[in-house]
Amino acid sequence: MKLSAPATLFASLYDGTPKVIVVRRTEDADTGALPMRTLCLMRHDGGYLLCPPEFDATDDTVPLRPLAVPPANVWCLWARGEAVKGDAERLLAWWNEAGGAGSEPVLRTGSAMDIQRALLGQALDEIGGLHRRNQDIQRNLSTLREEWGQAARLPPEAVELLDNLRLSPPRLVFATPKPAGAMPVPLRHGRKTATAGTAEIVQRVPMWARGLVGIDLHVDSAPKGGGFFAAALHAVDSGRMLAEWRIPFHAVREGWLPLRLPTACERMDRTLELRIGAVGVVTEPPRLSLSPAGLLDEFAVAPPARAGGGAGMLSLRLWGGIPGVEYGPASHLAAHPLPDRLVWPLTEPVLAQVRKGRDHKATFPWFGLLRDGRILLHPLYGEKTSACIPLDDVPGVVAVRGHAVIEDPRCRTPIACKLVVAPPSVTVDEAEREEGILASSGWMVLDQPRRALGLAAALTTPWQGAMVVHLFTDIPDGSYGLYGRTVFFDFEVEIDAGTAWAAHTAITHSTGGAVQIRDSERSEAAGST
Amino acid sequence: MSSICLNPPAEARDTDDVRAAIVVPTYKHSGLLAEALDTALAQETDFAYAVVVVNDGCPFPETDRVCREFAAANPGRLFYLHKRNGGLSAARNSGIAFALDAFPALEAVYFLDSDNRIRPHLLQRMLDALRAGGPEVGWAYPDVDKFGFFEFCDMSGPYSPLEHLFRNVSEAGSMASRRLLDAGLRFDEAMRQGSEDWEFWLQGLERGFRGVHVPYSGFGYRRRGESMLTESERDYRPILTHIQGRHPKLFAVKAIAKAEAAVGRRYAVYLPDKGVVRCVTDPTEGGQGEDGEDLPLADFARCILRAPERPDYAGCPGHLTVMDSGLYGLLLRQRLLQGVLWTLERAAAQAMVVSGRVTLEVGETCAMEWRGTAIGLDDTQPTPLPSGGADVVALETRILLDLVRSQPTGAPELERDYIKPCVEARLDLRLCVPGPVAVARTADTALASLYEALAAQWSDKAVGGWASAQIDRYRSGVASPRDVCWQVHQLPSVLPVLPKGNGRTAALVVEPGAAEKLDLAMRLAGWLRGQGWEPHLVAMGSGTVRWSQEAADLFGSIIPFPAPLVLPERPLTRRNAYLGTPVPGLREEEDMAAGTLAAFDLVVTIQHGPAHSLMGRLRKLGVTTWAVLGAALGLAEEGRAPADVVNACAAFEHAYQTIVPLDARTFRLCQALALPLDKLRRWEGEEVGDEADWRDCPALSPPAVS
Repeated sequence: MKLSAPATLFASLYDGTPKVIVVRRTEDADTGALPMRTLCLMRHDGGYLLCPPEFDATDDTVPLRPLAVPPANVWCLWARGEAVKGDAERLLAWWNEAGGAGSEPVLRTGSAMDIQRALLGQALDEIGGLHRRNQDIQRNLSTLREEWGQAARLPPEAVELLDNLRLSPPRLVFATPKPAGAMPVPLRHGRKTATAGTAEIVQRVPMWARGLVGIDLHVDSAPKGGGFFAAALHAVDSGRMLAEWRIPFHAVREGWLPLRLPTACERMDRTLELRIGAVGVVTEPPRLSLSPAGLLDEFAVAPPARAGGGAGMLSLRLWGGIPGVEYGPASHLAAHPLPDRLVWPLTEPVLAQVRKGRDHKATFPWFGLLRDGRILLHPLYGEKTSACIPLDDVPGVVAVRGHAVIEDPRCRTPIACKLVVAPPSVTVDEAEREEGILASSGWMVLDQPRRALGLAAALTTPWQGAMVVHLFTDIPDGSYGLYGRTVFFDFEVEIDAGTAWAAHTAITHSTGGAVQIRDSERSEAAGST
Repeated sequence: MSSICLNPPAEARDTDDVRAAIVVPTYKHSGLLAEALDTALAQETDFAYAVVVVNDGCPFPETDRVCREFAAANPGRLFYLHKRNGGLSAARNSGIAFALDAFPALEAVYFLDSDNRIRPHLLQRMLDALRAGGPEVGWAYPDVDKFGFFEFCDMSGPYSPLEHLFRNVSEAGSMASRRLLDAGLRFDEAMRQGSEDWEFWLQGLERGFRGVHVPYSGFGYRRRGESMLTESERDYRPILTHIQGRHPKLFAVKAIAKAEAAVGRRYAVYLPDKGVVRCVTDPTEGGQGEDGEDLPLADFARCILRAPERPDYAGCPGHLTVMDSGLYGLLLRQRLLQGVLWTLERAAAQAMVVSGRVTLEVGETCAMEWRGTAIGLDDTQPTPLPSGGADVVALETRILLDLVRSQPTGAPELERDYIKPCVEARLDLRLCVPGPVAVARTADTALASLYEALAAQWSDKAVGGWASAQIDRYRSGVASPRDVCWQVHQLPSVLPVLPKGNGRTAALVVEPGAAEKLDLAMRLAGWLRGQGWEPHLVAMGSGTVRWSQEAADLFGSIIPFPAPLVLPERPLTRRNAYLGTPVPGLREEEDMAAGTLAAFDLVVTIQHGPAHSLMGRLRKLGVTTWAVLGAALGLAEEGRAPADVVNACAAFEHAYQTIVPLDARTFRLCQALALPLDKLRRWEGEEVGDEADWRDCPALSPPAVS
C-alpha cells in the first residue's frame, strides 16, 4: 500500500496529539464534528493520501511525502460507510506490517454520534488509567523510600574502608609545586554571584567531585581595602555550582587559605572548575600564588599567567575523604568532630625526590627508588648508608612513619635502620647524630629477613614548612652484611588537624545539591579565621 | 470540547527551525525511558531542537504508554514513531529518516539510548563543536561518564583514525552531522549484537570524515551488570570480524600503515651528537629518503613524559633507538636504515633492551651479517642498563618510561617482563660498505644520559607530581603496533612500508648467502621497476648477504631478517616433511616474518624454502604471492634432488598465485608434482629453448593492484 501525506503535515503525524482517521470517499467533504484532531484517508493518484479534512486533494502543487511508519497516537479509524471499508482494511493491514502486530488502531463504523460516544468512553478509560498509574507511582516511591529508610546505604568507598578495618582521616591527594609567581584577583562590583564570563580567575581542578572535601589556595599578598574574596566550585559537565565561599578581606591573609566543604562531596561530576573573584573597594587586590603547570598545561589558569618560565596554575592543595562523611572545621559546626590527625601518604612523585645522603662505592646496587615507591638502602661494610627525602612546605606535621624490611631471604645478618626528621639546614652527619633534628625513630634492628618493621618519628610540636626525612642503615655486628638488601616503604606523614585543617577555614553549607554559605555562618567562619 | 486538540498547536507545526534532533530508540527500557526523555527535553540551547522517540516494537505496553504521554505533553518538541521490531540499528535509521524528512533546517542528529542520560548543555556543546569544525568533521563525540557501575572514559586528545580501528572511541551517544547523513551513512541493520555504533562511525571514516571530541559534554552511560554492551563483549571476535569484513579498505595492512604514519611516528631515534630525536615511520619515504621530523630533546622528553598522563594515541613513538648521526646517515644512504630499525624492533620484542655493536669494513661489495645473543634468558634478577660501549641501543619507549617513573634515582635496574624471554639482546652487525665511516661507541652512555635527563625532569614536582592527580588514564600510554596489528591481523607488528605516491611495492625474498638468487632478484627488480613497481630486497635466514652498489640503487631498501636473531634455535623441535621432502619453517619467528612482508603488494620468493610457509597468511592479507624456481638458482645445492625443491613449493602451492619456473626442466618438474598449469608463468627474461609446451607457457606479467 502506498500511503502519502502533505509534507507540511508530516512531522505532526508523529506528535502526541490524539488523532482520529476518517476513511471516506474523495468526494465526501463532511468528516463529522469530532472532538479530536481529525485526519482523512482518501484514494489519491493510485495510492492513498492522509490529510486534514479541508485539504484540497486536487491541488498538484502541494508536495507529498510517503509514510514508512504509521502515525502516532491514533485512537481509531472511522470507516464512513460500507464503500470505504475495503480501504480501511487495507490501511490496517499496512499498519500491522509497518508498525508491528497489534499496533493498529481500532476500526469503527457508525454515525458521528456513535464515534463520539466511543471516543468519550476511550478518553474516560485513559483518565482512569492515569489515575491508577499515578497511584502506582506514589506507591512505588513510597516503597523505595521505606526500603532506603530501613537499609544502610554505604558508599562503596566506605565499604572498602570498613573492609580494611582502618580509620580514614582526610588525605592530601594532590599538591602543586612551590609557588613561583602570583596573579591579582580581578574585582567585581556588587555582590553578584560568580558566573562564567565575568571578571574572574578560572582554574580547572585535577580531581573529580566525589570525595572532594577541601581546597587550599595560596595567598601571595592579602588585599588592602573593604570587600570579600569570592570563590565558587562549578561542575562543568552538569553546569551546576557545587559550593560557594565568601570571605571578608580582613580574614584573607598571606599563606594557605583553606576552603572546605562540610561533608566530602557525594556527587559524581567529573570536571570541576574553581572560579575566583573579589568584590569591594581596594587599594591593593588580593594576589594568589601560581605554580608551574609543567607537564599538563590543560590545567593552566585562565586568564593565562606564567610561573617558573612556563604556563602557571593556581598553587593549590586538594583534600579528599569518604563521600558523605562530615569533616567540619570545628566541633561546634560539625556533627562528627574532625579527627585530630590527618594523613599524607607519600606517593611516588614525592618519593622521586629521594637522594643519596652520602656517596659510597660498591660492586652492587645499594641505593635506588624501586617500583611502588620502595627505597633500596643496602647497608655497606664499615659504613652507615643514608638517603634523604626532601619535603617542601608540609602543613602541621606531627609524625612521619614508614616500614623497613630485608628483602633477601638468604640474609643471616641483623640490619639496623633509622628514620630521622630534620629541618633542611641539618646535615646528614648531624641527622645521624640526632643533633638539631625534629624527631627520630632511633635505631631499630631487623633481625629476620622478610619481616617488616614499623618506624615512627614523632614530633613534639606540629611543624610547618620544609623538612627532610633521613633514612639510615647499618650492620651492627660489623660483618659484611651479605644479602642485606634493605628496603624502606609505605611512608606516611601524620598531620595535625588543628594546624592544617581548622585554622583559617572558610566553610560552606549544603542546601540540597549546591552548597551556599549562610550569612550568619559566614561571619562565624570569618571570625574563626 | 471540540476546541481541544482539533489541530496541532502553532508551535507544534513549526518544525522548520529545528536544527538538531535527539533520536531515542527504545526497546524494553520502559522504566528508564522517562529518565532519558526528561534529560533530552531539558537541554539548554540557543537553537530549536526536537526529540524523536522510536519504539522498536517493544512488547511492554508501558513503553508505548510512556512514549505517548511524553509526546502528548510536548507537542512540537517530541515526536513518536512506533515501528515493527527491527533492532537498534533499524530503529535509529527510522529516526534519522524521519528527522531528515521532517526538519528541513536540520544540522545534526544526536543518538541517545533510552537507558542513558545527558546533562543540560550537551546538545549545545556538541552542535557548537560540529559548527566550528571544518567540512571533514563528520561527528562529535563525548567522554563516557558511566553510572550504575561507576567508571569514566576520557576520550580527549586528537581524534586518531588508527586508534578507532581497534577501539571504539565514539560512543553511540555522539552527534552525527547533516553532511555525514547526507553522505548516506546509516546503521548496519544486520548488526544486532552490539557495536553497530562503531561500525557506523567507521563508515564515516571510510568516506573521509573524522570525529571531534567534545570535552565536558555531560554524557551519562548507564553501566549495568548485564546489558547489550556486556553481551557484545562476549561476542567481540565475531562482531569484529563482521566490522572488518564491512570495511576491507580501512583494515587492509597498507591502510593501517598509512593511518599509523598519519597520526604519529613509530621510531624515535636519538642522535646524541646532534642533540635531537628524529621521529620516523618509514625512513625510505619521501623525496629526501625520510618521512621524519627532528624534535629537540626537551620536546621529546615532554612528549614521552606526557604519554602516560593524557590520551594522545601514537603521539609518542613506541620504539626508541640511540645511535650516532654518522651511523644513521650511513644506514640511510645505503638504504639499510629501515631494515636495521625493523631488526631492532624485532629484537626489542624479545628483550627489555637491545645493545648492538657495529663492525664497519670498507669494500666495493656491500655485505651485512647479524648475530645475536640473549642475556639473562628466563632470569628474574634485576640487571643494570647496558654499559661498556655500544654503537646502537634500542628498547620499547614504555620500558624506558617505566624505568624513569619507578626508579628515578640511583642506578636503575631492569626487571624482566614476563612476556619477554630475556633481559638484554646483544647484537653484532658486520657491515661492509664503500667509503670509511667512523662511529662513536657511546650509544649506551647516551641512553644513560637520556634516562638521567628524563628522571631529573620526572623528579620535578611540576612534572612527576601529576602522577598523583585524579585523572582518567584509560587511553593514555605509549602506542604499540601490536595494539592494532594483533587485533586486526593477528600479527605482532608490520614492517612500515609506505608506498610512494601511487607506486606499488614488491618484496623479493632471498636467502642471505645465495649469490645466484641475489643475481636473479636484481634482474627481477629491474624488470619490476620498468613496470612501475618499487622493489625491496628481503634477506631472510642466517649468513652474510652481499650485494653490489648497483643492486643498492635498484632496491628501495634492503631488509634483513636474520633467523635466528636473539633466541637460540631449538634443534629438537619437530620438523615437517611433505611426501618425504623436509619442509623448513621459521617457527617462533613466523609472526614477525609474516609482518615483515605483509605491507607489500607483491611478495616473490626466490626459491626460498622457509618463506613458503608464510604465503598462506600473506595471501589472506591481500598480498599477491609468487614463487620463482629454477635450476639456475641451484636446485640441488642444498644436497637435495631438484624434485625435492619443487616438491617443497608444491606443499604450499595453494598459497601461491603464480609460480615461475625459470627453465624447461623445472617447468616439467612443476607439472609432474601437480602444480596447476594455470599458475605457471614463463618470465620473458629467460631462454625459451625449443620445447613447444614450455614456449607456449603464458608470459609473466605484474598483477593489477586494486
